[in-house]
Amino acid sequence: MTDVSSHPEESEEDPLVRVSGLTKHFDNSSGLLGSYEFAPDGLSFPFTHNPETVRAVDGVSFEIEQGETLGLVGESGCGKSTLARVLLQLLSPTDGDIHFQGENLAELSNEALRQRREDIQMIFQDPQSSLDPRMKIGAIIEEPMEAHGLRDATGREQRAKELLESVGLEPQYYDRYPHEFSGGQRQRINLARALSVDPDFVVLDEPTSALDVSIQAQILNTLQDLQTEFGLTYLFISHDLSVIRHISDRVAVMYLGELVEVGDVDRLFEDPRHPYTQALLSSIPVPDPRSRGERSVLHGDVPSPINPPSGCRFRTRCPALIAPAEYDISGSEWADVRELIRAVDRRSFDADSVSHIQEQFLDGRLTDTRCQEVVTEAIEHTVADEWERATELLQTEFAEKSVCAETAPSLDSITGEPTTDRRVACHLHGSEGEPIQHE
Amino acid sequence: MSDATADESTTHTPRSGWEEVTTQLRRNSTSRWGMYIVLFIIVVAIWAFVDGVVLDYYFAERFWYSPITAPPGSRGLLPPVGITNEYGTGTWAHPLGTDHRGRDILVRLVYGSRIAIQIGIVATGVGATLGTIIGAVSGYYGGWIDDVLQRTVETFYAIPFIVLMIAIMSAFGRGLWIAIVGVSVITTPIFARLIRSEVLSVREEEYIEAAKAAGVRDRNIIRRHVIPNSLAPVLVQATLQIGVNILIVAALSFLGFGAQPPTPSWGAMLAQSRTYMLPDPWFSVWPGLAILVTVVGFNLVGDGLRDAFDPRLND
Amino acid sequence: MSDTPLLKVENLKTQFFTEAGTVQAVDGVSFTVERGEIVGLVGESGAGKSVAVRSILRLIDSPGHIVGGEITFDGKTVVGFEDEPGTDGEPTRREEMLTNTEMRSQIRGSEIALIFQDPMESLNPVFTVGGQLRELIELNRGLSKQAARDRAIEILREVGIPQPAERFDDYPHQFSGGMRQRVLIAMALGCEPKLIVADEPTTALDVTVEGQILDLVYDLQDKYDASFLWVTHDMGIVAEICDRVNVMYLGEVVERASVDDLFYNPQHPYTEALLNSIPRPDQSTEDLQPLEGAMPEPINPPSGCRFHDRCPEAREVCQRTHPDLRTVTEAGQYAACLKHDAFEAAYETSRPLTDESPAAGGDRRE
Repeated sequence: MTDVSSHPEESEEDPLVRVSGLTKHFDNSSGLLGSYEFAPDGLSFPFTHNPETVRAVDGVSFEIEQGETLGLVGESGCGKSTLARVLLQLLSPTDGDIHFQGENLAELSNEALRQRREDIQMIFQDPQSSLDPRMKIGAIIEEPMEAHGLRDATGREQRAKELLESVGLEPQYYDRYPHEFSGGQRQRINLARALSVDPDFVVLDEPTSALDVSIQAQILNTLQDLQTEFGLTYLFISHDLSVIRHISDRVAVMYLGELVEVGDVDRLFEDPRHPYTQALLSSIPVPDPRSRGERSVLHGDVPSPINPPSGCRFRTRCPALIAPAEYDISGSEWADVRELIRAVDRRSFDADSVSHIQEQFLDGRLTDTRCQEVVTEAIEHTVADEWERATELLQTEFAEKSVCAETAPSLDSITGEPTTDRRVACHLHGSEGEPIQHE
Repeated sequence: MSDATADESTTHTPRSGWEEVTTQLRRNSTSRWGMYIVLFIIVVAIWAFVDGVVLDYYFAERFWYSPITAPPGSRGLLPPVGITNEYGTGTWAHPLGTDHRGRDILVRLVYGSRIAIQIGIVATGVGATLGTIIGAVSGYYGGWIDDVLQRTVETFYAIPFIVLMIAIMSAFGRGLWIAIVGVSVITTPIFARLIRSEVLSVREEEYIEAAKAAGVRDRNIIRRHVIPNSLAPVLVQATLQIGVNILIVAALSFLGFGAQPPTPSWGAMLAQSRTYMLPDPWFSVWPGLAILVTVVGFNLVGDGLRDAFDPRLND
Repeated sequence: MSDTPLLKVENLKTQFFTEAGTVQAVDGVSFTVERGEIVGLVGESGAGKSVAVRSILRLIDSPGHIVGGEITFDGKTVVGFEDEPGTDGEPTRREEMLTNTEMRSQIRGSEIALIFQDPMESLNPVFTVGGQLRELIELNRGLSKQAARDRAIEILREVGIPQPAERFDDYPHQFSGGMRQRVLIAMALGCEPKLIVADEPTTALDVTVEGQILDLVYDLQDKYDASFLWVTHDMGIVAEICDRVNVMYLGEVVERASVDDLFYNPQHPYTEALLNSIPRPDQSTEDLQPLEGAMPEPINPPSGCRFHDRCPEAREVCQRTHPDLRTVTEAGQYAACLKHDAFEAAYETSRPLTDESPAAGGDRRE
């Protein structure tokens, strides 16, 4: 534990799943010549090859132990669905390894990979579109068994009917078609299909998001029962934090293609360390009218994964953005400046006069004269309706000089913590020793 | 505890999409008429095939008139029953009249149906099957396979069909089987493109991804999931295409390709009637009407199928 | 606050006449919205909430028809029928019931605004967002084109659209989901209506964006003194913003209470079950206790109390008697459940319904 390496202690058994440095980039340019940019500057060759890559997943690493449920939570666009698909090799990774039971899936041949699929199954979000509308559900459930040559026809039919019962449906539904079932029942059919080959590991991609609240509860209970009965390991992906809290043992929080925090579920929810996790948890409306007003709000939109912010990807919205070291500025002053930077970026105020704006955002003049100069100049730009220049100035002088913009934080265990289970990717919990001073 | 569906009866008959379609088809009156016409023509054509090809016009010659040779004592270019032209008055012996060689038109019409249906259905069937395979593979795999296959298909598509047919027939002869091959060749691209576009959207469906994730082999995915779910527009197109192909066959016979005289065929009859339009316009009416009715029949069925498939199967 | 409610819905009945039968989507629903309050309409899918709110705006199209009930808004009769059916057996409209034209010109958009779940339903993809907003303001508030444009930009800023003057000329597809929803709110507010009906506006949005929108709604309600009718299935949102709540099940309102009473003292078994089946972000829930089965189709509702086949407290009398909504506590909570004294239905002495009833399937370990 004095060793601040980012790898957890080796346990006696290797984890069931170990993902390291998993990366998936998509090429977003369209057409044959779309990735070329024409920029004549009279000096050099005007065409540059500039492919737009969507950096959907970038350097993600985590482990899942046998028998546990790892919850993966993040908002839409964070890359969690892409991660799930890359994990299952439905998409091929740009970089990184996926070790399953010791074997690296990314290096397997097509046929070997296909055979490994017997052990890893996936449940998709939309219960309706994941079932072929023209097949009877008996055939649907048997298909994976057939694909891996398990049992004979009678044996498969028998197993399918057993599975129907295990997931809470009647065996005589064997001959029906998917459209005859409700959403919750269809999701159970998906479960039966996944279980038909006795997998060890099941990836669930938002399995209850499309379902009604009471049906969701039924399905969650069923999932837990099945996990005990069949000894399954789950990767449960969702944007719904309440559901994640209920069903997971450990949780990983994802933002814009990267993991920002990983840890045991109760501790993570009670004591979140990463500013994004904190913001996420405090944004959720709690079903308790007496805890109104305790919610905080995270402003702004998620940046595009095509051009993510440098350094820490959350820095454009982070309420705890670290002040640049070169300025002598107090915590509360910096908080005000931070707010000003974001307000200018979003042009969310009326730029009437310099003094009025100065008053509105700052509590008097800033101690560091250089800071004050920059701020005044920026405000002057806004009053002159030169918002772009104001934003640029504030970005170059403040935001981009912060350590948050210069280096990307790595997912490390928190110094001073007794165990290495909790990992956070934030400079506030730097692995270089002391947590950085911050108000 | 089990989730309850609204229907809890123990005697539950599963209704697949196909059963819904046939019910729908039967309910629609225009498509019903289309089906009657098509069935009638097919029955006639089967009769014509059995008697004409297998039995060498045994029944025709015994109980009726031979479609190949003129009955003794018949006169050419007689009009239909009750009408008089310069060649005489029509009688019930030849209810639709006689052609320029004195052969009974009705008999020739009946036995000519065989050509139309044979080429129409066989060529369409071959073209649809080939086209489906090419299109499915092309659409599912994408990449260079798609590029190569599509460019090949487009090449055939680009050549005007008459020109293509003339080229094929000049090289390989004029007979019936060459005509079938030729029509198949020009039909294939239509289906290849049609299925390919269906497959492009079907392959993005989640159940395809689920099958892949379960470890099902590609060829089984195509066979069991992709093709059955892409078939609907193909079936519609196939019925319409039979009508189109019958027209093409008629056009070819008109030009002298396909079944050779004296084998009766509607297109040839039309061609022959051209010369005699002024003295006896009735000669050209009957083959034209036969073609019209047949093609309309197939069109009505095709339209009915299209309606039956459309909103119903979205459930 | 005056004593006539801003919106009063009484015994609303909306049905859909389909080949498969008559769907009684809304079957006798009553509630009110006072000025300045936010009223929640909660229920799962199929309960009839969307149909109910669209009935208020008379946006129900064939094969659906409003067949009964009375809706008054700000003194005007939006829906009202004579007591006697007409000569054709159909209910006849009352004289003072507004015509379709009057609905369109006077009510929709200007007095009552509707925010849908899917912004793309209300935004025309081929026109700029600013243009649509400006046009709305121009028409409804009678301003000149330039004045309307200024007001539009102002509203866009108010709802938190960054760089509003630039984004005025953007098209809907250039906005993210949360931004589009803000645009809808802007359009709803543009005409300063008295009542805003929101039909699950945040369901499709991320949690952080949802949080932003809820805050926005709070601020705007304060500023414009608008009343809200908020339809949702999310109890968290209900707890967060509603003042009073109506819980709907299968076309009926089964409980009505203030938000605190609803969460801390639910009077209907369905509400209780709903609250027990949701996982919570602020505490670990050991066991979720979901309801058995699923909500039946509104085409053929169960006899008596519609919830009896899934109710853990059902008794024999619940199969026969249909409870209406009555006051059941001193605090003024309403519930439609026979177990309360107000119904005098001899509930106590009636035999409890257990799992032996034919509707339930096999047993399931819980």
